[in-house]
Amino acid sequence: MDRQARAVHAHPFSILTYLYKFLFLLIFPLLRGFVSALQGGLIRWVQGAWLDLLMVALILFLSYQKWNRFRYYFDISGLYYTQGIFLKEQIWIPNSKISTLSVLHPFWLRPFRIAQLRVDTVARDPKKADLTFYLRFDRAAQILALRKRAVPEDTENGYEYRPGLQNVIFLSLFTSNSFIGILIASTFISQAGQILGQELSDLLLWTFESMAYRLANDLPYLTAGLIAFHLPPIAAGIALALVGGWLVAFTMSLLQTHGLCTRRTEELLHLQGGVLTKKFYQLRIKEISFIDIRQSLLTRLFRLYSVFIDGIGFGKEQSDIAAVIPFSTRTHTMDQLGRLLPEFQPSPRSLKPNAGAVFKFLIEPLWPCVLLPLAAFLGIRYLPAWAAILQFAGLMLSIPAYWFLGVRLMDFFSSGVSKSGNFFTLRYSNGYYLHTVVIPADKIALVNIRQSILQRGDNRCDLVVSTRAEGRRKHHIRNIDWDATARLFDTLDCWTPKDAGIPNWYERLFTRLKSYLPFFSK
Amino acid sequence: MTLQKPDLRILTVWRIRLLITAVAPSAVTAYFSINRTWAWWLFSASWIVAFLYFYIGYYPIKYRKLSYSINQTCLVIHCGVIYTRIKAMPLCSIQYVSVASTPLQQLFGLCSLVVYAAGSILRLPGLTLRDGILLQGTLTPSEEPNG
Repeated sequence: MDRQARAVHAHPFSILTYLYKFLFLLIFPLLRGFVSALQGGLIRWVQGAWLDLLMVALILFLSYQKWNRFRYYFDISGLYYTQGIFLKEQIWIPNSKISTLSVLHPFWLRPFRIAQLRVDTVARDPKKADLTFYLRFDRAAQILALRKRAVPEDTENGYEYRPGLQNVIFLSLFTSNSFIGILIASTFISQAGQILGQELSDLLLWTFESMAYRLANDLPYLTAGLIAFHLPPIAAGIALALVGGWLVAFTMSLLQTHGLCTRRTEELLHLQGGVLTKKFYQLRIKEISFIDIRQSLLTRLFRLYSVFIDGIGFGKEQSDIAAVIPFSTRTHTMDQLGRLLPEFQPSPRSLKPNAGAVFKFLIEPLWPCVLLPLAAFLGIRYLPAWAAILQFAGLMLSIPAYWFLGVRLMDFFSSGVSKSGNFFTLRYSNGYYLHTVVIPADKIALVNIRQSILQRGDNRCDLVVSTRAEGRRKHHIRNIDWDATARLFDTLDCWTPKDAGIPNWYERLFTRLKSYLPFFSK
Repeated sequence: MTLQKPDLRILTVWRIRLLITAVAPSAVTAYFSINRTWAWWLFSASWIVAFLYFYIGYYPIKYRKLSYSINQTCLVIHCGVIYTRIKAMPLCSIQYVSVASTPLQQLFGLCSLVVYAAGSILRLPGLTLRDGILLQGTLTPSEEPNG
C-alpha cells in the first residue's frame, strides 16, 4: 500500500514511445481509404475523415493512458511497478532478483536530460529487457545509488580498469562485421531519401556506382598466385560495399565502446562507456553466466586476447557493451582478469581430442577448400565469357574457406575441457572464433554427451554444454574421451545398461549383434 | 536412484502413432493403385521402407537405449538412436517440471516429463502417471512460504 502510494510516473516522453504499440489501429483509416478509393469518391472520403481523426485521437489517448497507468517506486529492497490499461498488473521485483540494472543516455535525449532504465531478471523473454522506461537523469542516478546500497556486502571502492584507446581500437578492428555495417548504411541511405528527399538518396547511390566503375577501370590487372585478372565492376561494387560496410561498423563499434571503464566491487561489476549513447551497467557477479576469452585466427597469430562476459540482461542489444577487457596481450589480459574477476580463471585443459581426431576437425572446412577452386576452374573452362567474374568470385570465396580451415586447425591443437573447483573451462571454436569459456557449475543448464557410430571405436564423444545465459548458448567440444567426460560432469554413477532389454526377439537380435559388432555393446 | 527404464507400453504408443501417420500415404497409394506408374512404385516403396524402418528398427532401439536416473547433482537421461547420448541437467538449474500426456498416452496411462531450465528443455517420455508425478515432486520440491 505504502509503495503504491509512493509510486510515481515515468517521464512523459514515454507517451511517444508507447505510440508505436497502438499504431496497428491505423489499419482502420487505411481500410477506409481503400474502400473509398474503390468506390471512387474523394468527397465520400473527406466526409468520413472524422473517423480517421477519431482513430488518431484514440491512439494518443491510449498512449497517454498507458503512461498514466504506469507508476514505479524503487527503494533499497526492490522495484515496484503497476501497469496496464485493461489488464492491470502490480509487480514487485526484489533487488536480489535483479540481475542487471542498466541506465542508458542516448545522445538525442541528453539535451532533455532523459535517461532510459532497463531492468533484467532471469525470468521472461531473454530477447528483451523485463522492464524498460524513461526517467529524468537525477532519478536514474538515484536508482543506481539505491541499487548500490541494496547490496550490503558491497564496498564503495574497488579495482577500476580503463583500457587504453589502442585496445578499444583493436577491439573494434577485429570485431566489426561488414554485413551489419552495410545494413546500417543502407538504412541510412533509404531514411535519408525519405527525410531529405529522393535526390539525396539517388546522389549517394550514384556516387557509389561511379566509384565502383572507377575502381574497376583504374585498377591494373590483379594477380593472385598464378592467375591474373581484371576486376569486373560488379565485383568492385561488392568489394566497395564490404569495405564501406566494415568502415561503418568499425566507427559504430568505436563509438559504442569508447571510454570503456570497468570497476569491480565486492558483489558488483560496474561498466560504463559509449559516446553516442552513454551506458551504465551494474551486474551482480553471481549472475555472470560465463566469461568468454575470444580470439580470431588473426588475433591468435598476434597473441591478442579479449574478454567478453555473458550474464542475464547484459549484451542484450547490438549496441550493448559486451567486452570487459578489449584486445590486449596475454599477460595484460590475465592480469586484468585476475583483478576484475578472480573467480573466473581458466584452468589448463585436462581432456583434449586425440591425434586421430584431426580429420573430424578438418572435414567440414576441407570440402569448400577443395570444391570452390575446382568449381571456379571448371566454370572458367566451360564458361569463358564469365571468366573474369568466376576468377574473382572463386578467389574471394576461397579466402574465407581457407581461413575457416586455419581456425579449425588451431581449434584441434587447443580445444578441450577442464574443471577447477566449481568452474569448468571449455575451449572450442565456433565459426571463425576460438573461445575459452569459463562457466560456474551452477550456470550449466544441460550437458549433452553424444557419441556417433564412428566415435565408438575409440570411445570418443562430442560434448555440448548449454548455459543459463541471455538466450540459448551452446558450447560444442569435439572428440574427447567418453568415460572421462561423463566422470567430469558427474553423470556416470548410475549407468547399468544390462537391464535395458526388451523381452522379445529384438533382445536376441541385439545379443547376436553385440557378439559380431563390438561397438554395439555400449 | 538406480537406472530406471520407461514403461514398455510407450513402444506401443509410438507404433500406434506411426500407424496413424501412415494412414495418409497409404490412402494416396490405394487411391492411385489403378494406374501404377514408376512414381507410384517409388512413392509406395519409400513410405513402406520408412514405416518398417521406424516400426522394427528405430523405435525398439530408441526404447532400448532410453533410461533415466537422478544422482546427487543431476537428472541423467541416456538416449539416442543414431548417436548414443547422455543428457544431464543439474538439479540446481531446474526451474519447473511439467507432466504432459497426449490422448494416446492417456489411453495407456502414460505421460511425458518435460523439465524446464533457464536456457534448456529436457523431455522424458513413457513414464506412468504415478512415476511422472513422483519425479515432478522430486525434481521441484515445494518451498515453505516465508512468514
